[in-house]
Amino acid sequence: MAESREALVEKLAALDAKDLNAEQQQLRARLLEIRAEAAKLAAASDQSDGPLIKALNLAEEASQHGARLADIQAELLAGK
Amino acid sequence: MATLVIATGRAIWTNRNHGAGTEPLNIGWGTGAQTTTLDADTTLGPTTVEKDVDLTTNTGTRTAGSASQVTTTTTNDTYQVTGTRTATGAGTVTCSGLFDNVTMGSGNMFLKGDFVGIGLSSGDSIAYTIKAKLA
Repeated sequence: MAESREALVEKLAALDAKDLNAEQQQLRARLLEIRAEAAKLAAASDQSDGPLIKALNLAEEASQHGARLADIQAELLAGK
Repeated sequence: MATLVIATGRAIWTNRNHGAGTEPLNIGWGTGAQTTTLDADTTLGPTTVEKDVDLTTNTGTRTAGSASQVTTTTTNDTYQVTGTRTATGAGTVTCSGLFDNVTMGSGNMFLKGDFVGIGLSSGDSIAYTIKAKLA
């Protein structure tokens, strides 16, 4: 099973620097910076003062009208 | 709390079947003390008052929604209107409805719903999904 991105990041963070070449060390350092920034953003979004968007669903089942509307439609089609 | 295709809504519905009238896809909202929607209601009142997007003015413009047929139980048994209305002032919305005219105070109401008040600040929005299903 493929590992999650988070698990891979943790593995990378745990690697000893001596096991990485210079380029890999730079990439790891940048990845850890991004992880820290993402954590800050996640914390900030929990306390967001941004605009509220409320989803509202209004639904009516016109069951009490259905039969009568069918009758009316039939009458209209018949030209009555 | 209730959402109803009210009496004037049935008149709109049969008129549309008859090939006449205007599609009721304009969303309005109101503030004020909430009372349960009744079949005889013709406005967002009586105790609530329809408001413009500033949630203060009693005149103005409703929000033209996007209408479609959707399936709930059988194919295309449901008329659906979606739309987002954004507040430019603060207030608590307690009722909403669909109308066949975009100008507040004009046209006929097709459907009305009342609900637990939604408190809005300027810049907040309500994203509506309104469905009327024939059964």
